[in-house]
Amino acid sequence: MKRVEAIFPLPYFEIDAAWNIVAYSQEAEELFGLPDNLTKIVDEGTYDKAREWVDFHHRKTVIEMNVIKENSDVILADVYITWTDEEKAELLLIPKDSQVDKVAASLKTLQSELLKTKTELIEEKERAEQVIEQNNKLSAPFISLNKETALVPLFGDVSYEKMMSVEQNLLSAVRESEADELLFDFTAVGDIEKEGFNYLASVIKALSHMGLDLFVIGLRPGHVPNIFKWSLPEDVRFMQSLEQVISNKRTRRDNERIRQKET
Amino acid sequence: MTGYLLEGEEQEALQLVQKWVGERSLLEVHEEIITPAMYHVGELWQTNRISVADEHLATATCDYIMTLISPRKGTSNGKKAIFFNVEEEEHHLGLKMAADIFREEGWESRFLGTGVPDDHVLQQIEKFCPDVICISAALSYRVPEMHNIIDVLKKRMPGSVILIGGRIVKNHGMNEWNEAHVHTMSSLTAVKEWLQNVKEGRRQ
Ligand code: B12
Repeated sequence: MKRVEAIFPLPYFEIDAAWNIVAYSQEAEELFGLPDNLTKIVDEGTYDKAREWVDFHHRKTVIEMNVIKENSDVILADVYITWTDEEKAELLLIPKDSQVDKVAASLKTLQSELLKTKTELIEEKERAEQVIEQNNKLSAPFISLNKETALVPLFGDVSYEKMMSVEQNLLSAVRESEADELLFDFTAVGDIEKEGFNYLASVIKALSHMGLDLFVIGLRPGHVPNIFKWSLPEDVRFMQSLEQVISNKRTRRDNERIRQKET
Repeated sequence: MTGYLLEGEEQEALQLVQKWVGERSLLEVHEEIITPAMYHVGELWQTNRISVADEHLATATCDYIMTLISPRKGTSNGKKAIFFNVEEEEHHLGLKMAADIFREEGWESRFLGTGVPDDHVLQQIEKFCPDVICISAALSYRVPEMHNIIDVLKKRMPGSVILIGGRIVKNHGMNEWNEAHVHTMSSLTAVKEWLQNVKEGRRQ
């Protein structure tokens, strides 16, 4: 095995029919070290291809090969093969990583940038969803006015998603409190969507099954047609305002007291 | 099909694939049409009829089509899976197919794909808390790296199941990696069966 000066500053090998390396260029040594046989630098996926093409019956040819560098990186190279006779071939390798890899590398950076943006977007989306969910949950706070009465002011549009996230909080608040009277205040409600309303109606129905007295207050003229069209459970009573409920209650109580006194 | 992929004729290839998607399952389209088409691309390179530049184009066309036929979000089963390649591994089409098979069964699949550095992957995984972690590797040289990442994941994500696939499994089996929470899978059919078993509660 001897080192020779190649005409081009490129990796160059001379091999015999059994692929033994008889001569090599300095560039070949820099890239591949000192393999004694070509097999040592041929990637396993390239082996069959090389067996077919690095053979005397293809006198002069060029093929792409994956070859293994001394540092065990696999690189792609155009390999120019010329057989001078049955026992000797010259191989000139032109590594392709400089050309293809440049494009591939910039593609790859783009790709990973995209990937990064994509994951960031997903995280952002998840965060936003959590905020909305949180916001929805807060759209129907449970406020105890006194021992038996609680107020649930609804905020914003009555949408399906919002009513869904409100439901849990509401039911557990009711369970924990001793209130037997619940006022749904619509004063701060914007639009009422049909699906949202139906969901709310089902929650209200559940509450009425739990034995609560239910009132809807603060309806605005814009709400009214829809609410009556879509209908709430029958035992829900409608009042104009909180004051009306309270004054009603007072009259009821006074009446009761009077009745008690009479008997 | 291979012809369209190599010419970068994504419209023609897409029409062909969409016809198949109508007639067959996604699994069959991936395993019996697209995979063999890509293997055929590999054979054409081996017989010196195309170059790696052509393989790049075929891959891009294939990837584009796969994105378009990827299952839309249906009813979710509440389970999550994450997909990535071992470090520096770029062959990602098979992994992408596996992600779609999971999606089809109602899983939330997060595809991290290729070229993601490992510490980043680990952070992602810990944040995402997947039920299943899927890893792919094609090159025979990746075996030590795969071995390593399995060990790391077993320690950091003890509750997750790890599925290993890709050409190294397809060609070499790698059965020695199989244990309680680690399974090697040589085909998408095996993935589908596994998912079916999980659904019926026969396996975790
Ligand atoms: C296309 C291709 C490329 C493309 C890859 C593009 C991409 N982003 O995917 C490009 C041109 C970039 C490329 C590059 C290289 N490649 Co290449 N490439 C191929 C080729 C032709 C097809 C691969 C493919 O897409 N197959 C189709 C997919 C769907 O099949 P699959 O991966 O086997 O997946 C199936 C199953 O395994 C399973 N599966 C896969 N992943 C997972 C994961 C899980 C969890 C599960 C359950 C299942 C599963 O699902 C699929 C079902 O059908 C193969 C040839 C071949 N026969 O494989 C060579 C091949 C794999 N490449 C090879 C080589 C050497 C390389 C390079 C090193 C070349 C170089 N010098 O740069 C680089 C390496 C790049 C890198 N850093 O990883 C060799 C590997 C030999 C070896 N030693 O192992 C091959 C075999 C070609 C050859 N004969 O030499 N390559």
